[in-house]
Amino acid sequence: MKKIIFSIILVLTLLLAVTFYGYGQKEGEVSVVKIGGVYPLTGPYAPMGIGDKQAILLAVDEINTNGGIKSLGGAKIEVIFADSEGDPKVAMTAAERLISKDDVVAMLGSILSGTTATIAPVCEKYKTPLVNEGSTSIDLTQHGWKYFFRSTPHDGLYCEAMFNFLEEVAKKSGEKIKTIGIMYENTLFGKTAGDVWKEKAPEHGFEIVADISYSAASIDLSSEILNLKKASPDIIFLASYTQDAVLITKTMQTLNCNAKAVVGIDGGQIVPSYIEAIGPLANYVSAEARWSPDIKKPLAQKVNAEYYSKYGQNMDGHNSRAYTAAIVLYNAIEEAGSTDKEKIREALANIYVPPEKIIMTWNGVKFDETGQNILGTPCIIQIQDQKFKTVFPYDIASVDFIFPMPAWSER
Amino acid sequence: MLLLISFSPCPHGLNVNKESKFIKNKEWDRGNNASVPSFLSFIVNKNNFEHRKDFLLEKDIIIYFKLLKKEMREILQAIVNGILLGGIYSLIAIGLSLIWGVMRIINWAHGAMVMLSMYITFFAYSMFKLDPLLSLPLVAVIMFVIGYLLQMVLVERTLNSPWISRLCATFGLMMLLESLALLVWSSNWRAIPVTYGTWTFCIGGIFISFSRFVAFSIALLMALALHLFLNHTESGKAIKATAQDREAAALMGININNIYRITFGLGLAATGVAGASLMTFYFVFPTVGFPFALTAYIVCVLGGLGRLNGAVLGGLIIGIAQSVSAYLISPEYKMVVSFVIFLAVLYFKPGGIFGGVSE
Repeated sequence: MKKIIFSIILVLTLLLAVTFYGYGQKEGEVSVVKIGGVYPLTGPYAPMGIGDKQAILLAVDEINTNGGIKSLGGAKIEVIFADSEGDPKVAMTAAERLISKDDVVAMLGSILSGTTATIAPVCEKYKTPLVNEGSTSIDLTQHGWKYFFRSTPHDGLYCEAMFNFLEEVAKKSGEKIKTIGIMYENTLFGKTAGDVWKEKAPEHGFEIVADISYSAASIDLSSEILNLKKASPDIIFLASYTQDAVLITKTMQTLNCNAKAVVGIDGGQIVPSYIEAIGPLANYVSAEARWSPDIKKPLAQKVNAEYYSKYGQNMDGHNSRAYTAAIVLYNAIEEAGSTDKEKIREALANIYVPPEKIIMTWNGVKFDETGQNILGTPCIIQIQDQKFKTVFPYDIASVDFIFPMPAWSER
Repeated sequence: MLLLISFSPCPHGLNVNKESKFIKNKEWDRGNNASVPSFLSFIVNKNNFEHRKDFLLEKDIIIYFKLLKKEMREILQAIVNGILLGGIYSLIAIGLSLIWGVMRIINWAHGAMVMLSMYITFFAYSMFKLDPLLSLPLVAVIMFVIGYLLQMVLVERTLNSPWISRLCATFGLMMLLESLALLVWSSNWRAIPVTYGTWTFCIGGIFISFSRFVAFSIALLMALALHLFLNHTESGKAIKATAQDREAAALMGININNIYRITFGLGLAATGVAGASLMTFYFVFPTVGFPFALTAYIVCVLGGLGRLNGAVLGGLIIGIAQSVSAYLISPEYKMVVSFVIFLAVLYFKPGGIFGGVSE
């Protein structure tokens, strides 16, 4: 009798196993969706690359524990990472390998504009969609690539967003803002910002009264600041690295150069060492940021808390965007309900991710025909009491924007 | 003063039309005491403008002088900035000049030495909370010892070899020090938050940064001290004698090698003083030295290689030229103008202003 029961159980178990085995193998069903990720995991850009990798893994973990891709029967996402070393050539071969050997259905990558520029043509060749999270060089979306989607705003959009910010500030405070003085360092980073500002200012009704480019390695910026003071603009825009940002602020204090607001572009002013170097002088300086841990958005707070408990650090402007890119790609695959690359591309081209589904300050994600997300916006932070505080957009700001900033003599 | 006015580009000459436009641009000027009085604000209104031309003219003259006063003050500010900047250039150039004057060696590692002394100052602060101005003598002593030893183990051995070996020895030293600094201290830049870092005093509307003024004074004092040392002490006279004629000095019983070691040490001590003073308002990172050193080479050649007074005057000329040209023309042109002056001086006086100490 015992033997019979045992046999029955055995047979049933086998039957069950066979059934489920068959289920897994059923046509059109997949258990794992493979995505490639090319990031600089070693070399000088490794801190950024590793941060991005961690954020993507966090996003994927969340998706998988919440039931994977539902339209694919709960298939799990697996991200295969490859190291680009920050080198365009290495990135290219890494992308080839991921697509042709590992059969990934889509790609994420690769922080640096230089490496993204070599990966995108490979993805184009193999007709594999690439979601780029943070390469902001303007020309990347101007090559007519069909499989390239950039979820981050590019440099031009980021620079132009500062004018929108000023318009909002003028509206809210009732102060007149008319003239802008721009000061930018003279390599690609600053030049791009300067060119965009000069091109877009008239469209927004602002007048650029001082246009100063300088070398970031300058020993002294007194004469530059003196010229800025001579023009006495309402607002000063800066595109600088950290050491020159410090020099600029110090010299402004020394020469008593005042403006209603000093706004830097994502760069020198938003790193902690800027505040460390000049302490209270840093107060009231504002800067554009990609993201900030204090934004008032429940989802962002939740994800950042998870990230913090897992890796012991807050998220930053880079990896928050990598997290978002992974979420966008997941939404597209969910929408496509297929691992067919064409269908995923199609889904990406038509996707709309609403703002409440992402951790960014953006109005959502929607790609235009060049593959550029047109709903991205930056946030503006202001240094208050020697701490970074988000002040714009108003709905997610943690404190009020202090405007106009007090003159040096009133502090 | 009259000379200064003629330098001014006068974008707002007595042309009424232009003048009014200029005022319009200045409408929102904050923190400027010379802003247009409110009772004159109707000038901006173009409708009134045509009818009251004669009346406007006399008012405009008043405003013109107010603006001229402001312009003058800004030019003066630019000159003061230039003098202070020139002080920093001189400060860095003095050590280089001394070494060349006595030993006929271009110390390519000069920038690296500036960097090294800045790091020493920084660590004196981070470990012992020593203010840069307090640790200044300490840094000078440490740099003297480093210089003395370097001369003994490295430079001395190349003194009689072809000039290219001498050049490469210090160049190699620079590469070594910069790479080592990058390796040990990373590329992060470090600053000392001194309390007087934000002190500024204002004399007649001219703003002067305290720490820059201190650096400027230190440059002058150091040049004076070195001058007194070279002319009024036994060792100083021995150094001068060696500089004038090496063989003759040796025949007089001067220990040439020892003099060279002391000179190299003194040169680096001067560089140490420069580095410590720089830390009161600047920051340090491994490649900080090169732009400083580059300017120092130019300053030295301009003033006359090996001349202490040349280093001071050269620094001031370059500093003022950069600052004033940046104000009057555009900051982009400051390098162009200072190098045109540099080349012009070399054209008329190939040895520099005071005539260089030649080989």
